Amino acid sequence: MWEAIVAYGESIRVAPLVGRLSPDRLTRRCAASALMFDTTGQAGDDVEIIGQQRATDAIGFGVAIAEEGYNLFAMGSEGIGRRTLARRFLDQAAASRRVPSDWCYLFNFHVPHRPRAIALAAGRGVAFKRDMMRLVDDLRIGIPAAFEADEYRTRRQEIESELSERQEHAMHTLGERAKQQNIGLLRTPAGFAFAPFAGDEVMSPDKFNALPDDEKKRIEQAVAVLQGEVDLVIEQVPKWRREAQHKLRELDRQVTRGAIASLIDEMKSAYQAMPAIVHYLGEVQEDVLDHAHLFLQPKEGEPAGALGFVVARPDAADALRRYEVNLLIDHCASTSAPVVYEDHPTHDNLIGRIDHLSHLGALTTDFTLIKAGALHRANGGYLILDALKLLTQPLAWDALKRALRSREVQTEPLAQALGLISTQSLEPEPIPLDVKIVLIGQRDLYYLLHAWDPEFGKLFKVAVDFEDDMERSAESELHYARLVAAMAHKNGLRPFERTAVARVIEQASRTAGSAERLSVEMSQLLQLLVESNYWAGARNHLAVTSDDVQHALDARLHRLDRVPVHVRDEMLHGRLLVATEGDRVGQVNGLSVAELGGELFGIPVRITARVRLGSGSLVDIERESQLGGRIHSKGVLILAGYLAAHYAPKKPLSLSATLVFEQTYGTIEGDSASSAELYALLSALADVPLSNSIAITGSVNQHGDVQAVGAVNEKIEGYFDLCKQRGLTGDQGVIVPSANVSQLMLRDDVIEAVAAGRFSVYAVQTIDQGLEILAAMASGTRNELGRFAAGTLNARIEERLDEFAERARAFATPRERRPQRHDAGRK
Amino acid sequence: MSFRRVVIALEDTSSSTAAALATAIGLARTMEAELVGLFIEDSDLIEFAALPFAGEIGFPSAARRALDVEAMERSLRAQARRIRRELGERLAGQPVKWTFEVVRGRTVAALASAVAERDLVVISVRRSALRARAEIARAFETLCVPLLMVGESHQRNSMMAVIAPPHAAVSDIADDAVALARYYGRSVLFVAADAERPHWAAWLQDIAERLAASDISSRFRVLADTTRGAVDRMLAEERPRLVVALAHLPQLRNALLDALPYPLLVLPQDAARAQDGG
Repeated sequence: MWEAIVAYGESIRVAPLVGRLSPDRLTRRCAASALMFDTTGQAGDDVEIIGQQRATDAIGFGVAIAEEGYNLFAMGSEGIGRRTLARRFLDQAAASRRVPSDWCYLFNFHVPHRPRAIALAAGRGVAFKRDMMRLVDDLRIGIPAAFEADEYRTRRQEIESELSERQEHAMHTLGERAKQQNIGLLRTPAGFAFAPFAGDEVMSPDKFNALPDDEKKRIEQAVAVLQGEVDLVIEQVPKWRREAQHKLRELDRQVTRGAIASLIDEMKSAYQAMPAIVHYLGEVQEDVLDHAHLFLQPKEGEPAGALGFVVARPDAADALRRYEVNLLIDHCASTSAPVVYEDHPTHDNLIGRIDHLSHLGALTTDFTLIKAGALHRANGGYLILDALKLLTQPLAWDALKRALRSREVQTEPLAQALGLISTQSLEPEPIPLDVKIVLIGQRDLYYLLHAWDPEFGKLFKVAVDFEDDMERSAESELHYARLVAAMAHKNGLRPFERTAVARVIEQASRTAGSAERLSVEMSQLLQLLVESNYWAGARNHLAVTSDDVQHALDARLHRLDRVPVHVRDEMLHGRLLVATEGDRVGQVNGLSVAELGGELFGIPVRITARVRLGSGSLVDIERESQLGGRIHSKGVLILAGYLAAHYAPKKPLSLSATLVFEQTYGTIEGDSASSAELYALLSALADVPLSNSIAITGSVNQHGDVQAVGAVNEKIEGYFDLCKQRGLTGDQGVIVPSANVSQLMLRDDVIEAVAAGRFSVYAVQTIDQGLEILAAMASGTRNELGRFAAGTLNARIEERLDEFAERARAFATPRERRPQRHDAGRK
Repeated sequence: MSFRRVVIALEDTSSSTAAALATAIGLARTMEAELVGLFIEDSDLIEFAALPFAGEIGFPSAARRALDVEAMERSLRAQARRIRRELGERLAGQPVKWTFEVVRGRTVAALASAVAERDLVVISVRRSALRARAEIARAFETLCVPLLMVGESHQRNSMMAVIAPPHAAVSDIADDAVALARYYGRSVLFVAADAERPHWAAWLQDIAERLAASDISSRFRVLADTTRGAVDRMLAEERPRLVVALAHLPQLRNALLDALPYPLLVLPQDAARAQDGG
């Protein structure tokens, strides 16, 4: 399985998984023969989700428990199948629950800006809405008919005539009384006046002036008295008018009552099992009595205003909207509790909105314009929301929490909630809320909410944590194969040959980043299946073959590898300096990785180190130039600890070193190149050239242990591709941490090159092991005297550091040396 | 009968005036006559305003203000402008030729000065102004000008009643009825009043024959008793939209004048030529 590394000098160390790896360690094949079917068409397709036992248990618990606050947060990576699993459980649970009530908003006759919310038995809302429409239609016929009857007209005329006659009679009486004094009552354009008459005509001023003074005085006094009496008559007019209005109103109510009583009573009896509706109908009856005019249409020639102008009345259809039913939630077609997924969870889409109509430039609204939100639709059932979308919508998260906390949905315009408008709008009565929320989001989001929102933990008590991958075993491979079969069947794809399924499983391991794991990211799997199916179709294959799967993978990489290929071209043309042959002091090949469009690409990079006498500082040029991330900087600082502990435990580390990733112009993050940096540094210290045929990845700790890194497959393949294009020499290879060996799922062409001896993959556990591969000489260990064997790499490094220490001591001033001696003496 | 002009006296903007105007417009349109809106500046008011203590009590505000001639004239002019504007708006878009005139004088005299041959005068009347109505009716009889008096609008049957003595000229009666019925519902009730006179059956028969060629439906009735009570009973039973009466039956005319609120068209004597010279 593995080859022991060559021993140098007296130090021979052999360990499992260390050294040049044999081809069979570079990947883990899936045995197609073990899949027990020829194509997925013969396999069962009852598997929808695999490897999510923890999540399944949690979601089952969360859905079943009915206590307050037991809402769910399904966390995990995108495409892992969170929504599918949640939906499946919720659909099952909803099927066993009763269909919730219909809800409608009705006009509030007492507080018009606060529409009334009324629940009806499931499916009754439509009938109620229809019945109210019919009632209004009937009233529009019945009320005008009643008002057109002779009885009403006669009684109305009587009342109007009574008022008119009362006024006329009063004035006529006054006029008659005036006439007895030869004074006439005149109608002026604006009122009345009294004038002395001479015969049938008003007395002329000349005649009046010719009268004796006593007579003139008498007339003036009589006119003054009569004017006072007119005042008394006029004072009575408003009262008479009020009385007439009251009588007319009572008449209208009587006539209306007669017209509507039987209609409304009939409807009341139909809804007698619903007290709220009966109560509402009673209010409708009272309101119609007061607003019967809304049901009357103006008739041609109706003298409603001056000279026959018909006074514009509000449009009757608009006014009658008050009797409409705004059926907010209708479950007439439902057979189970609702399961709602709101893809766009804005504030308004969650709690509903209040629309407006533009009328002559002014915006108006009423209760019929209240629209349901997702919470209304899901009431009595379940609501699925994307947490990130929810949190990025203004006030949506607050609105959801408020609804869950208060257990009711209060529809409020967003602008009103923000205080942006102060005009009076509607304040609909809140609707009681009984809903279970399933939030779907990234794991980070769950922990952030838990840490920073004190209410979150109380409202979302059930964490549903989805795995990214699952253990790979013969049994799980079979499960996975059934999952592939199910997805192919469900999505109408061609059947997959078992070799194709095996290739899919191997790719799932690669996606999981481990030969011992299988990725359970459903979206990625589905994408691979769909694309493989496409290529099978393009090649006229009846079933998808492993070649089709491989072609789909290659094609996807090809679509995305423009940048890596361009970078590699730059290396091939010598504009980016990365040597793949020869050796050089203080220079090694590191391996970086870039993520482009969801795919990882390994890119080799030259790392160099220079050393000189100094005060023990390691200068990371990436950090100094602010191109190094914090983890990268940490990795470099660890190197100083390794140097001091390994080579100068009892001496000052009188060294100044610089480390740099050559020709990189972006931010470098991660510590996976820290072992490569250490190799370059040690090479510079020892003045020993290291091989540039071999690239290195792996982080290192202060003890010199090489630690696992990510994306090891992509890094190896990135370097292999460069070497392959330059021509494989047989000396080229990659050093990886032995802890990463179990994750190797390399491409076939890499494995074939390794098998042919044209490329190597080395696994190391320590820096010393890597040094020996790179320098082709023994690294050396300390003997019983604490000294490294002469001629070894470590001995040369230690000698160099001793030399630096001595030179530093020589450079030190006497003043600086005295305290040092004094301190040493005291110790 | 063919009217050249329909002259309506516009005193104010009350509901009774509005009802009279609606009738005048309808008649003018049906008969393709010119509509003349006549605003009368009552000379009594001008005279009154010249008195030293002249004052007005506003209605319904009861506010008092002193008046002089200038103020009264200004007030009357303002009222005339307002009525003219509202008349124009009311007639906008209607195929009726119209004019608006302002005359000064006492009501009857001013109206008389404004009317000409083949004019129909329309006035609105209030229930309490019975005496004035009778006076006006008599005045127009003297002028031989047809006078239509309209009160406030009331719901009635879609027909008109023509009440005439059986000696009235059949041709005039029938022609009048056909002309008016085109506006009043194409249905006419002919009432032979004062039917103690002979030949009333033949008279009605003549009318029926004359109307046979028209598109007007007709009924016939005899009113032997022309006292107020009998007239009221007949009108309450028939409920016509218009009552047309000939002026040369004073008792009948007075009974009809009292029988408000029915719109009444009084045709002058010369327009109702006696068939038998009686």
